[in-house]
Amino acid sequence: MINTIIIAILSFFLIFTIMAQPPTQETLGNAFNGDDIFVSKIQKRIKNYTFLIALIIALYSYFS
Amino acid sequence: MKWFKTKKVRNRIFYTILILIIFQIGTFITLPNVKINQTQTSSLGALLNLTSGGALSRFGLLALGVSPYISASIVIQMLSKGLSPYYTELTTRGRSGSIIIAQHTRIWSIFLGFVQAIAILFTPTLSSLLAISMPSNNLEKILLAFILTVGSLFVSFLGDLINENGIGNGQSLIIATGILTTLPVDFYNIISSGQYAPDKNKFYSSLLILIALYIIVVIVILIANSKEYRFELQSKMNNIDIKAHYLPIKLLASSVVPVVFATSTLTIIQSISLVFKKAWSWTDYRSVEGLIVYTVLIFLFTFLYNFVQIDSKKISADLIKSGTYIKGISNLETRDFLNKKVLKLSSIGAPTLSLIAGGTILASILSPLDFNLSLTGVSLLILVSALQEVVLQVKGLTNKHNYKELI
Repeated sequence: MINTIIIAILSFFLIFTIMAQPPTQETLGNAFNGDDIFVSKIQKRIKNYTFLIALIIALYSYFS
Repeated sequence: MKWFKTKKVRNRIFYTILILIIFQIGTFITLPNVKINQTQTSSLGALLNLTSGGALSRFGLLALGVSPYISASIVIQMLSKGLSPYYTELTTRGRSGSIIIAQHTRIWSIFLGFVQAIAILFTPTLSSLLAISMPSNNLEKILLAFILTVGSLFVSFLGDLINENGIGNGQSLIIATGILTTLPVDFYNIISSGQYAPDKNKFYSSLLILIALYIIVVIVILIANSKEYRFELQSKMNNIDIKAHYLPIKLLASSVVPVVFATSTLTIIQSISLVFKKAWSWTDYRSVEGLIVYTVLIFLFTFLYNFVQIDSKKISADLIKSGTYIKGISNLETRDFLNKKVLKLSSIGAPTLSLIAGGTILASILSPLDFNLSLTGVSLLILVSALQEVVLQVKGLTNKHNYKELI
């Protein structure tokens, strides 16, 4: 039970990091022309945090 | 191999592969206190597994896959086509409106994912069908449903990353990789059926027919996906006939959406029948009556969704705004003309989709040998369509980045 609670708390943080990022819509610009989308430093940092939390959840679930 | 020499294209392909590997790893990490007893083979399990990108059979952290996101996208798309004035208005706001719609799709996917997870975890017939054994504590089940919901949100985030920095449509590719991972199991099933078949000649003839059928289905998909109707446009400002100036409408205008929608509907009905312990054989697509229901659903959803997708009212309004008209059709008649064309198009597209989806299932029903394959016409349709889009984008990107050499 304790493992489930810890993963649920971590998942709660993951929801925030994902929802804090603006969703990207597939546009003709990025889909067919491969134009790079401008991503601010804050967005990049949130993206990194998202992966970090997901990695912690994955490792914790795997070893618990 | 020009694409491999183009750094930007190569990087995008590797990025896509990396994200898909992350998704696959996530499906293998099991949830705490949840055990999978055996591989499921029921028709409901197969249907649920298809839209989750093969993840549900392993019931790991990312077990729900993209299915809540797909359901949410369908709901939002239906609402934004006139069912809800708020969402309809958002579609006219351009980029800012589409960002709000995308954010709402995420919120809806959280809600639908939670409902789906609760249904699986709290319905004993459903969880036993998926061969899951889990804790009996209700609070823990709710927490597990929450974890699964966040997992599905993370999968849709991965899909977004592919759309942004990778190649192809992220969500379709996630489902496609799930289908690809089932292929080795299918090969194993074929080999083991061959080993235990009493009549080897019967086995080889059935196998050859099956392979031929799958090849035909792939060819039909490739042709249907590339078939496009072009309506020549004429400018009111001048009478110059420009060949490249046309309104394109694809034969499979709604792509795989009607099939996914029909699959989801059948899954919901089948889940209800299990909850109420009713034996509705017509909900099992592996039976003849179930296949008929499945085909009829695909047929109906193709017509419905084509009309939703090709908004004749909006297209005719846009043509008036841009000062153009379809050659030989006045602006007043455009809407009726397009509606008639969509009806005609759907009457070709609907049987094609039904044939693709139902053909392989019918073959497995009629086949004297049961190969126990999870690869159906629907999975082939999703797989081929996703890969076709990847090829198209790789070609486009390679040409763009090597444009100077062409001059």
